[in-house]
Amino acid sequence: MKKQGLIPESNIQKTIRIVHDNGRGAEIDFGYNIRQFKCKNGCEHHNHLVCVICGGHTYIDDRVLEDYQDKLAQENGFKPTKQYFKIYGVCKNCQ
Amino acid sequence: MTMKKEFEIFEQHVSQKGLKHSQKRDYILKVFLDTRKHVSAEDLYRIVKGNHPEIGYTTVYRTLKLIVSSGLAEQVDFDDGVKRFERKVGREYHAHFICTGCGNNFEVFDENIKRLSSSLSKASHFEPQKHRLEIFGLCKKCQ
Repeated sequence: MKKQGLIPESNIQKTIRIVHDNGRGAEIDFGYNIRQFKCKNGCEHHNHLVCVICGGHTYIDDRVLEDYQDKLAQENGFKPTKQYFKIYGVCKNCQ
Repeated sequence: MTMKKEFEIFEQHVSQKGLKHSQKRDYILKVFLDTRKHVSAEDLYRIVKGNHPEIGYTTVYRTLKLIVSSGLAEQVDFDDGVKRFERKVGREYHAHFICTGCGNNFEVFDENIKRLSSSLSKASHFEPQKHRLEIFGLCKKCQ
C-alpha cells in the first residue's frame, strides 16, 4: 500500500487504528518491532507459525485450535480477551 | 532432573564461556531455581540481596543472562514490557494465563496442545521446535 503512492500512509494508519479501536481488528506484535493489524471477526485468537531461520510468520486459521483454547480457559475459570499461540520451528522453504 | 544436574549444566556453560567458578553465581542460580516463579532480574535481585546484600544488581543481571544462555531458563512475555524468566529444563509444557485485572499469572499443564501443535505443523510442512500459548483475560476474582 505504501509503495502505490495513491493513498498517504498516515490515512492507512488512521483507518487501521479506527478499525482497531472499534474492536473489529487486532494489533499483532511479531517482535523485532514489527506490528501488523488483522481483522479478528469477533475473535481475538492470534495463532502463528514462526520460522526461526527466516523470521517468517504464517497465520494459523484453525477452528479446532481456537475451540481448544476457549475450552482450556473456561475449564480454568478464566475469561479470555486475547490469546497468543506461537509454534516456533523451521518453515518449508528453509528446511 | 535434580538441582545437582542443573548446577552441572551451568558450571559447564560458565567454563565454556571462559569464566571462573563463583559462589555468588551459584547462589543466584540456587535462588532462581528455588523461586519456581516467573521472575524478572529486579525480582531476583530483591530476593538475593535479602540474604546477600553484597551481591549487586549487575552480578544478578549478568548471571541471569548466563542462566538463559546455558539453556536452563527462557524468557516469557506477559505483554507488559517486563522481561520475566522461568525454569526451562525438566519442565512439562504448560500454557500461561495472565490476568489483565490484577496482574497475576498461573500455569496450566495440558498434553493436548502438543498434539495440536504437531498436527498443525505437519499440515503446513513446518518442523516444530517449541510452542508457546499465552492467554490474557480476567481471572475468577477479577470477573
